[in-house]
Amino acid sequence: MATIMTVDDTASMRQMISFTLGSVGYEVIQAGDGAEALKLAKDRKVDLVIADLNMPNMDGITLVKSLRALDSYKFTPILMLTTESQSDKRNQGKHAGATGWIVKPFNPEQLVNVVKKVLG
Amino acid sequence: MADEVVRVADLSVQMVKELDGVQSRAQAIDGFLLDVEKLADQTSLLALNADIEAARVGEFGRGFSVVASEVRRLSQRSHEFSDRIRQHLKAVKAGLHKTYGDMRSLSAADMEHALKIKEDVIALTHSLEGKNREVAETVGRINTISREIAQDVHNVVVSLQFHDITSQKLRGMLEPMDDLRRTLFHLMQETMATGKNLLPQKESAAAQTLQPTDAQTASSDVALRKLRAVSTPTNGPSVELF
Repeated sequence: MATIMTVDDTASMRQMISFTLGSVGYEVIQAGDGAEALKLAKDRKVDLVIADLNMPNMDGITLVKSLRALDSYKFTPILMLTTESQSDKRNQGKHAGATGWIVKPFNPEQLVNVVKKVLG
Repeated sequence: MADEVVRVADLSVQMVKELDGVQSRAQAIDGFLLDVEKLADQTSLLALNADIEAARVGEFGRGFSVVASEVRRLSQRSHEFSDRIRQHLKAVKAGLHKTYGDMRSLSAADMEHALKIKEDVIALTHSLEGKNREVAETVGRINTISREIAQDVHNVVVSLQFHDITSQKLRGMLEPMDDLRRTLFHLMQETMATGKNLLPQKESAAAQTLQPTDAQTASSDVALRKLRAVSTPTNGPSVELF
């Protein structure tokens, strides 16, 4: 089963994502901000990244750009999970190289479906 | 299993019937023995007559008299023999009678037992059927409850995210609120400065001085727009793959 990394500065969000995806069999690892996520991603192979936008130390857009700069994460799906829904933010994410955009609050079944789709 | 027990009881009933047959055969042997005794008696009588006839012919009949008495002795022996057989037969009949009684009560008790066991097994089967139904109902209820729990968990997962959403929105409001506070502070300072110069001036001039400058209006507009942006409800799809 695939390994998924959830990146969010709110512990309860990470827990909700771990719980939702863990219950359908995925292995979920957690990072509290972009910097921690980048370090974890270099240490081990992650099949999918689900990242928040606004975080301390390193925000979601910077994380996407940094991951895309690595050879091993050029084509890894990265989903943004954020409260932001404005189109200019979406475009920023798209240009940085994100695979998709999910607006909080996520619906558990919907999240599982999107994850299955991008892991194809 | 109950059927098996009933079959064993049936077998013992059949054995009682066969015992009945053996008993009636023993009775028949009794009759044959009577015939044998009658024959022996007649032979004995015949021998007696022969003896008398032999005595009548005197010396010539002596040899015949010996044969007659020998015949009588044989008939006596056959009588004794028949007696002994009758005694044995009596013992056999007594034994048969006892076995017959035992068998009868045994088969009756067996049958009763078998029927009781059959009833018990039927009752047990019924009670098991009842229990089965209860288990099925309980499983149904557990299914319903687990569906409800799944729905509750779903709701909790969605609801808990609002904590994060709200705190992000509040954080987003801090900056425009600060801008607004600064603008209001400048406005207040200028109002106070104008107030000091107000005394020597005419009212119309004072009113003009009290108008906020274009820059102030612009900065408070920006702050309000930012605030509105923070509270803007979602626009665009909630899930979008690029």
